[in-house]
Amino acid sequence: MKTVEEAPLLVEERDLARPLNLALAALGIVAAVMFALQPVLPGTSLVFWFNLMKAIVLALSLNLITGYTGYVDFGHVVFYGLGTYVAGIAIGMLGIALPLPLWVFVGPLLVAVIAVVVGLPALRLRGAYFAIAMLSFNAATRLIVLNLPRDFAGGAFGIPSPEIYDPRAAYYGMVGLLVAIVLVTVWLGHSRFGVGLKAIRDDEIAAGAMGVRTTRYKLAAFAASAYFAGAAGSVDYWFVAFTSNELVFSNVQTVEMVAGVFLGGAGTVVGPILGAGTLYLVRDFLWARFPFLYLPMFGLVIAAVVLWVPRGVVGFVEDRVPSLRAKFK
Amino acid sequence: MEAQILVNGLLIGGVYGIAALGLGLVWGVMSVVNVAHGDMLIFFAYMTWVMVATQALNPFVSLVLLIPVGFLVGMGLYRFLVRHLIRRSEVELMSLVLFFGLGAILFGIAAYLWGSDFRSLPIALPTLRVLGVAVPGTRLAAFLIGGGLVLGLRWFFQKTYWGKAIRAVAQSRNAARGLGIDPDQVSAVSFGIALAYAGVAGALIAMISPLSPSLGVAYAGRSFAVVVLGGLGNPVGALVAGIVLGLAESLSTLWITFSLSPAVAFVLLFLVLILRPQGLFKPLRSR
Repeated sequence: MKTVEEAPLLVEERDLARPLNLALAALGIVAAVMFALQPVLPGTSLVFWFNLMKAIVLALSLNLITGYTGYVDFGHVVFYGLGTYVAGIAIGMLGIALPLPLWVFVGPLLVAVIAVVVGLPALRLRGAYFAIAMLSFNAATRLIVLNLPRDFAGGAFGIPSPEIYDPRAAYYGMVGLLVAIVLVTVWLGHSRFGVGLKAIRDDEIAAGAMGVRTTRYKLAAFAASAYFAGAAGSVDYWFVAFTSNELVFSNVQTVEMVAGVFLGGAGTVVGPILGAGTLYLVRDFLWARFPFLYLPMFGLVIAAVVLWVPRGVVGFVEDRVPSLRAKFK
Repeated sequence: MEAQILVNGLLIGGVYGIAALGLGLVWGVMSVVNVAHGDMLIFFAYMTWVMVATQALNPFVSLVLLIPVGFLVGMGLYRFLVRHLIRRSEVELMSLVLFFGLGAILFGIAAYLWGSDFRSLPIALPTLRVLGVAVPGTRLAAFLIGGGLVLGLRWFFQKTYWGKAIRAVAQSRNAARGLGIDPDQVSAVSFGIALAYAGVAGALIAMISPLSPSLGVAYAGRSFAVVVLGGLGNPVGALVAGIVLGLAESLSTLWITFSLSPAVAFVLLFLVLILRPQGLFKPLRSR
């Protein structure tokens, strides 16, 4: 497996590879600094930048399982929703005294555990069956959370915790999360683990025959993907100090993640960032002017990408500039 | 009380059966997974509502009108979208994502046009009383229409040339081509039939329950549960599975709580997928 990654590059490819990688790394650092500086700059909308980062983190989290392993997850929003509830129940209902910045990153480990429990049977299903199992898992979870005792999960009313409201601190939580998931995704492109995942995506039986421990790999990717979605949920709870059933298990959010991942290019680092970022800007524009147009628009983007650019923007560029191949990964 | 609940479950089961048929048919014939199926059903249901509420049409007339409409929409979907995917290697995955997008479009439009509140049809056939059990006339009619059309499809598959051709293509596109059957044509017709059935199912849904755009998710879950339980594109399996689901849902209102009954389909689906992914009935593509 490693031979694929370590194959010597053609001369002209190598010439482009190093400067491009350096440029991307520099761009990433500039972007991180820009995000980190927003709260101290005058006249910025914290909500805008926070939600932009959230959209990118969620798309990258879906990318970990769908982009790298090829298991399309149509219920991914469930982990985000559970993340908000893990924080909401612990802080708003049980009043656990763990410091907030710690809890929003420790709590989602519980979401990862749930993902492992669900993934053990569900990841045995192939293709469409996995997607539908997850779709139904999200729908069932939403209804079950809604029907939990009101003094535990808030019922239809949701869980407000006005006393923790501190958007500025939560904002930095999301910056940290974004940096972490970008680093994890970059690492996937250069590690044995990432190559194993891609082998599973391309041909699971062959990957198993080559010695990839497919079940473990899939579960690990699924757990990581659920952890980051859950952490985005917990940090979001920190940011708005509220969660409610209706919002956080909404399929609309899954549509946004799927659209972002496929528009940019599944299984790459740059793709989901580009896709989710672009769609977020468009959505922000549409929300203010034509609020009802934005869901059909996301649907159109998904349909158009599948029909004309199945490998997304990154795949499209790679096909035209072959020397860039494997550089965005 | 129990008898009443069983009758309710049985009657709605006929509607669940016909609602799922279109989904199973295209999945069985061309490995295309229409995750927008629930949204399509609800869209057809809203079309019925529009015809009845604004044009004062008889709901049963609008049901008949939706058959050719659904058939043409299905043929069009195949010709303009699905056909381009079938030639690729990963049809199932790509069609899954494509229809996920289409579902978002339909849901968005329905929410925009009719989403503000529940819409229901001003229709109520007289309620019959059989052995002390109330049998609502509208639900009985929906059950008979749904069940009858599902069984009609079985006859179509077994006895007619086109039905046999569809089964042949479901088994193997290449072998069918070798026998002089055009898989492209047959797939287009299957898609047409699938959406014609979805049209009828939509009209029946409009007759028996108040409509809201989010009903699409519930019907997607129910349809997938029925298809997985009843075998891909097996009409009799779909009818039986629909009734099983209808009974399970109405019994759940007795045993658990009313507000959890929509979760029954999802839990059932999740369990069947994990315990017995091959379903309980033979799919269309096996003999």
